[in-house]
Amino acid sequence: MEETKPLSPMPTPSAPQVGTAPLPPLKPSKLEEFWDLLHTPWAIAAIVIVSIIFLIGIRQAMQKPQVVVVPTSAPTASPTPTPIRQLSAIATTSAFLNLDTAVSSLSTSVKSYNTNDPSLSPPVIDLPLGF
Amino acid sequence: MLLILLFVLTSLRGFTYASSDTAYQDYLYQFDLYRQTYTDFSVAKNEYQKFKSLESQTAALDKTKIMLAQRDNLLRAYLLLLNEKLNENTGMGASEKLLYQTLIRNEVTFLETHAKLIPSIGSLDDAGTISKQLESHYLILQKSMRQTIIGISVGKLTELKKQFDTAFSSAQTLINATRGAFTPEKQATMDRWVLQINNKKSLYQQKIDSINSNNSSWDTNSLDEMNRKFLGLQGNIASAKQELQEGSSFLGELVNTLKYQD
Repeated sequence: MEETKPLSPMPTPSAPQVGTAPLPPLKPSKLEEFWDLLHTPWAIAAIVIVSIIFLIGIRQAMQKPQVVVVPTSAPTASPTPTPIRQLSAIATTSAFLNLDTAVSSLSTSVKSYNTNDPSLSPPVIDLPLGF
Repeated sequence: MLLILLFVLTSLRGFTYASSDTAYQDYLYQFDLYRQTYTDFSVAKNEYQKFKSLESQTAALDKTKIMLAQRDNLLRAYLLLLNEKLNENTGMGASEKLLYQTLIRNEVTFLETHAKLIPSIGSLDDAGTISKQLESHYLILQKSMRQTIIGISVGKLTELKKQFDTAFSSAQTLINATRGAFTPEKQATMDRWVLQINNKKSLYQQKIDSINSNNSSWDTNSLDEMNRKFLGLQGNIASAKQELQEGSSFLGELVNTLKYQD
């Protein structure tokens, strides 16, 4: 049960007394409390850790994304095996070699021959004088 | 005076040909001169037709005479170029070459005779009459030129055909000499290829015979008709060359197969 306090009589107004009574201690403000809190070792450690994490995050965000190059294997030329053909008995004879040269020369001559030689085009002239 | 000098200079140039290249360069030179003299003639003619004055008439007459002389020189230079081409052609037979050279000589004679008449021209009417002499002969002249050009082209093909025949004959000799050295299958293949090459030879010869037959008779009455026939014959020559080219290619394959045993 809560005790009921007897009603105290209303204080009578009196003249203010200066310097006689000690001032009650001032209550610390919120800012001062926070400031004091910051000076605790735990708070400093927490701030350092948060700063480090923040800086690491910024650094990673600023780094360009690196393209991951997937190494591909280039196709390598694999030479088709050329079948080794056996030369005939006449392949090394002078008659065959002469024939081979003659046919090569003939093919070149026939291909290079221009049947429509531009230097042989007849001149085109105007005949009637027109007077 | 200028006319005489021009004629003398160009006449001298005509007899100093060393080859068809020199003749061609001379022909180009004569063509340049002709263009120049024709331009001068056109300007003088227009002046005369505009003013009808004695002075413009005299100037027109002078320029006409110079142009007529140069026209003959140009045609003559072209004929001499054809003559050089004939001389260099080794595929053409002697009688055939003589036939074309006779045609050219006749035309050169005509032009030289015609050119001698030009200095005596005394009026524009005379100039017209002398010009008409060439105009009336022009179809014959053009026919001779075109006949000769076709003859030269066929002669060049004949020269290549001779080389082809020699090589083909050598290949056949080698095949016959080595008969039995190859497998029967390969031998049969080579024999079949020889037949196909012979077919190409026949096709070529048919086309050449047709060209020669058409080139011997030019019964045309206009320059346009003549040009159409000329283009047709040139197309046939290209076709004959194609047969020869394919025959040469087949021959190359035959030689290549002779090189190997399998």
